[in-house]
Amino acid sequence: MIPLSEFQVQRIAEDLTMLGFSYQALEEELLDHVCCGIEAKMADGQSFESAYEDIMQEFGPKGMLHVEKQTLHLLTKEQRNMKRLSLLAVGTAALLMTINLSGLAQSVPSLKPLDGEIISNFGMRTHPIKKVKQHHRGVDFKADFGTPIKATAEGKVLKAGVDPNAKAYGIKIEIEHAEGYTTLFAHLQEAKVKAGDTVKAGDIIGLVGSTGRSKGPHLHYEVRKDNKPVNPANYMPEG
Amino acid sequence: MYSKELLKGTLQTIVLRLLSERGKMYGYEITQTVKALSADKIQLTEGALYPSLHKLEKDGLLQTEKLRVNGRVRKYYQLTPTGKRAARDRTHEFADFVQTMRLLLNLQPDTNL
Repeated sequence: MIPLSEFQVQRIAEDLTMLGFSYQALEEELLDHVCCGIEAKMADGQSFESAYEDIMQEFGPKGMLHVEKQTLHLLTKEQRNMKRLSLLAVGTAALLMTINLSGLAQSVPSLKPLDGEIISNFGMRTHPIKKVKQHHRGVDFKADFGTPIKATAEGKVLKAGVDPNAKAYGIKIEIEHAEGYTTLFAHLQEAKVKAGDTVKAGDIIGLVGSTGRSKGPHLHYEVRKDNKPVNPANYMPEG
Repeated sequence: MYSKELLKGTLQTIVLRLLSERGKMYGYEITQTVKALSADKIQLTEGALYPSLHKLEKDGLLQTEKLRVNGRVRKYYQLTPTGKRAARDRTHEFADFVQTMRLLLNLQPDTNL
């Protein structure tokens, strides 16, 4: 088996660094793993590029950072359990809350639909196209065309596509969750789900676009409780 | 290929047993060895193997050593004394479990039981 050149190893190392690992020791280990895999495939006659691509595919759609997430999750499990135990001591009220939170965490909106800057908040604002003050029913995330959008909790897709009664939203997706919550994603380039599908938190449901009344690529995201828009910022992790 | 459910809980036993046979191994080598030994029926995913290796190391069952190979760092795992005991215990436990399962799954029960 011919070892990869220093240049090739360097290139892969740089690609991995771009992914943004926080657990350095694992990044280093996965670099060796990827290199070994490529070398084996090249020994079977594949080109570097196609071998590299195949190996990265083997990490699945969630990619390498998911391996890191799983590892850190497992390593910190005991600490989390300890924390839970001390919570128990706080009292029944606290206990009930913990159970409630962990049980509902997946079923009510609790994620960011994508990693992007919020460029327009929930509440009163001057509409960017109509130039009048009005209530903004969601938040706008800045994102490029084609950025994948994730479901923020498990649920069932109510609508996906252009709604003739709400053309301003362009291609949109509405998802129904537990506890009377629904989420809405607007101005998409493409919906990857259809009405009736069930989704899990974190599933890719569509791609960012600029359809409907929109000036450029962004995601308009709404959370509704019993059909009334609430501030999505309260339903996602801080920061 | 076996289902995820079935393999859950066997991964640590496989890794410990393999290391007790082979001494020192690195991640990629483990995936390929298991694949070959199981005739492709068990394919350890990276998402399952690496978390498990790091956990076993944290729990003191494995110790590691880093070597520079072909311009990159390779991390080797081997059993600690505690790890050796665990490898023995878990292999026995699993072999016992397999026998019990065989009894339970036997669709023609032995009438002498």
